[in-house]
Amino acid sequence: MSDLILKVENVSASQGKFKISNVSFELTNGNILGLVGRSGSGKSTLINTLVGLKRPEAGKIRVFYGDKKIPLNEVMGYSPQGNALYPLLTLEENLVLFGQLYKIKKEVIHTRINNLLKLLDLEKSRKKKITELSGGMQKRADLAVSLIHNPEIIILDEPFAGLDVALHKFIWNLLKTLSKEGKIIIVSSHLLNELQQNCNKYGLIENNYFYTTKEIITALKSTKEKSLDVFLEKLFTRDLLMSEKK
Amino acid sequence: MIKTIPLVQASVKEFVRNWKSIFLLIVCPLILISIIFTSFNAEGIQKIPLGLIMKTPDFRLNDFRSVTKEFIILKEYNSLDDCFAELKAGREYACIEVIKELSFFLNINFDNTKGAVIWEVLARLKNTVDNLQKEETKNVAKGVLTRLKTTLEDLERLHNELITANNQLDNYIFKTDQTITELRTLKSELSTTLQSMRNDIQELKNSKSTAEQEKNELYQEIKSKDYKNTANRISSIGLQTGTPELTQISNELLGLENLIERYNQQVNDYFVKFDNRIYQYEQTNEKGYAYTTQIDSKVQELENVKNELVTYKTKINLLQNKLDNARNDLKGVERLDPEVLVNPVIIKNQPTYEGDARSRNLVILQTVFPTLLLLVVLFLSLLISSFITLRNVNSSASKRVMLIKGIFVHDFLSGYISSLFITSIPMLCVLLLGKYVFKIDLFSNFVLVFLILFLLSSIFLMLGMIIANVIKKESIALLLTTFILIILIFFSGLLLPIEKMSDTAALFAINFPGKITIDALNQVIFYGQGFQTITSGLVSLLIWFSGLTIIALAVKKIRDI
Repeated sequence: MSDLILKVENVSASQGKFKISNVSFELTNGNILGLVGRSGSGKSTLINTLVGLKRPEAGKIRVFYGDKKIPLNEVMGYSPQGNALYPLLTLEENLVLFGQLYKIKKEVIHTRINNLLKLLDLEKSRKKKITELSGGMQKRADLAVSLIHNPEIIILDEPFAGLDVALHKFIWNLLKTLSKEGKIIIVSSHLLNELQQNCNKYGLIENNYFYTTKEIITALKSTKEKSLDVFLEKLFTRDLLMSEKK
Repeated sequence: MIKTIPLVQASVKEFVRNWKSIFLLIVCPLILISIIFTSFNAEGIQKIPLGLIMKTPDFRLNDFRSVTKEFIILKEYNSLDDCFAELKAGREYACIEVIKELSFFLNINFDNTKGAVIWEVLARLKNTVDNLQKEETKNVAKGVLTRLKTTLEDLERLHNELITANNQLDNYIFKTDQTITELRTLKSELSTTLQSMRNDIQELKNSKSTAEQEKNELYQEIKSKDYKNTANRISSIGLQTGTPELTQISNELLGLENLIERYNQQVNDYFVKFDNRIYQYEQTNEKGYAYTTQIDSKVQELENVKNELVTYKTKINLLQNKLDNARNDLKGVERLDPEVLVNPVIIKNQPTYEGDARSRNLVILQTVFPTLLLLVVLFLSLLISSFITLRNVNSSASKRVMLIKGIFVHDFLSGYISSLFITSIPMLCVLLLGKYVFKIDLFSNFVLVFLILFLLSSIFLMLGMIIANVIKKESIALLLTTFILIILIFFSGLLLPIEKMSDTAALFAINFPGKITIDALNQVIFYGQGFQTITSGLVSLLIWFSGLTIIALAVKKIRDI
């Protein structure tokens, strides 16, 4: 397992009315970072900034293999909200295309495709166009494509939106498997309890601010509240958050 | 190209699998192009209904009908108002009112809302009337020339008569001159004679005086002798002597004295007669001198007459010269063909491109082909590239694609290449239509045609990509594309000829890809020109392409950021 470090230092970003500031965290192999925040808090803005869809207004995003700095987009796999696939191409065509774009050798692509389709239970759907797949299958297809080039860092933006609980479990199991392989995973969601159960690192986004303090994370991990809104409301009544802001 | 080709394949597959895009961007344009191309009438203009109001029976209506029947359906009306009613109802294109004053007036009241076709009809009508006019004028010219011929013959006779008169005048002048000379000579001789006569008269007078004097002296002498007395003495003597001989002598002496007296009287009478005769001769001499004066006067008159004759001869010569000039001029006119009289200046419009077409109208359609090709390429390139770029930009997959390292140029190229490939299909169809329907030899110079169309298409593909990258929303992009299409069509000189634009607008239009392309296509397709001729055009297109590519790259870069 290579010694991979993702360093995010004081990153600020905005996209329209969505703003986020003071984002700092560091992840290493096997970390699963759960980005927690209400809908519209700026999770996608942060993720877009992390993956490179937006330039950060301030701060740095760096990846190190030991001491060697490498570009994030070389080792990153990304799955946005919904999917990022060519809707009228088949699943196999999407996988082959992105495999080629990631410069994976021909002989390797097909092996990898077979493995991914098997992993994600999409073998029967390989010849189907994306538009012909169900929502859950589309999400799995998107995950397959995001993994085609065997990235070291996997960033997922709201991967569970619109999916059933069974699929949530499936995806979480996959992410945990990947984490065990040493990959760094960043997942954004507002599903508090799932994040509690599956992540080992957390970042709270609230009021355009990014919190990773021990106290907040402890509160987050230990809360029995299933609703994020209730949890955050309670959290904000405490002085804890106010002093953090200072 | 490793990344470009898969992206192109994906883009083309996405396009082909979207039946709506196939239908809207390939099938519909092809159908539209086919309809447009096949809707052109190779035989020319359709017959247009026109109303006719004859206010005069003298107009050559049958000739007019026979010539215009190819493009006009003529219907006669009783009044202009009746025809106007039909025109306003859209059933007539124009109302022609034929009036005669000194000339025929064809007042054509045309519906100027009908667009370009009415101007072609009016042009043809004008041609028809001009031709009829020329026919009429030709007939008049023939009549004039015939009368001219007769006039020339008369002038010829007049010319000959003038020559004759001139010759006679010469004769008269000569004779007058001769007469003058003779008269002068006669006068001179007469004067000499008169002078001689005068001298003779004087001599005679002198002689007469002398003779008279001598006679008188002799008489006196004789008288002084008193021969009567002597005779008487003798007689007496005789008597005395009885000498009869003395009486005879005395009688003879008396007779001699009487004779002397008689002779004296006779001589006196002769002297008187001589004097009278001298006087008469003197009178005659005087008369003679008077005649010489009169001769002088008459000679002077004759001189004047001769001078007048000379003057008249000069005038006649001048008149003859003028007449000769007029005859020459008229002979020149006589030699003229009535056709030349009617058409002294003939304009012959000879199109430089005649094509291989059997009909003139197909040649017209052939010359329109580059314009149609430009419109199709412009329209399709702009729309297809906008569509494909917008689809790529707004595609869910673009989020993933953009994150791939070094994908920017490949993404750009794939959009361009896939748009070019898709655009080339209808473009090829149009070229085939041009070859087999319009019978234009496009493929003999195919490389150049391909190069021009490639550059033109690429320019508008880039423009479409720019629009799509700037305006991500499809509806607004489509509106903007339509707006830009109108500007492009206008500045290609398709709506308004560039020659009718202001200087600034014309300067822009001349350097516009549309105009450059049409010029280059015309040169290559119709005149078989080579690379050298169109080099500057190709360079201009290349500059446009390069410039727009840079802008498209910049816009995409800014958008991606």
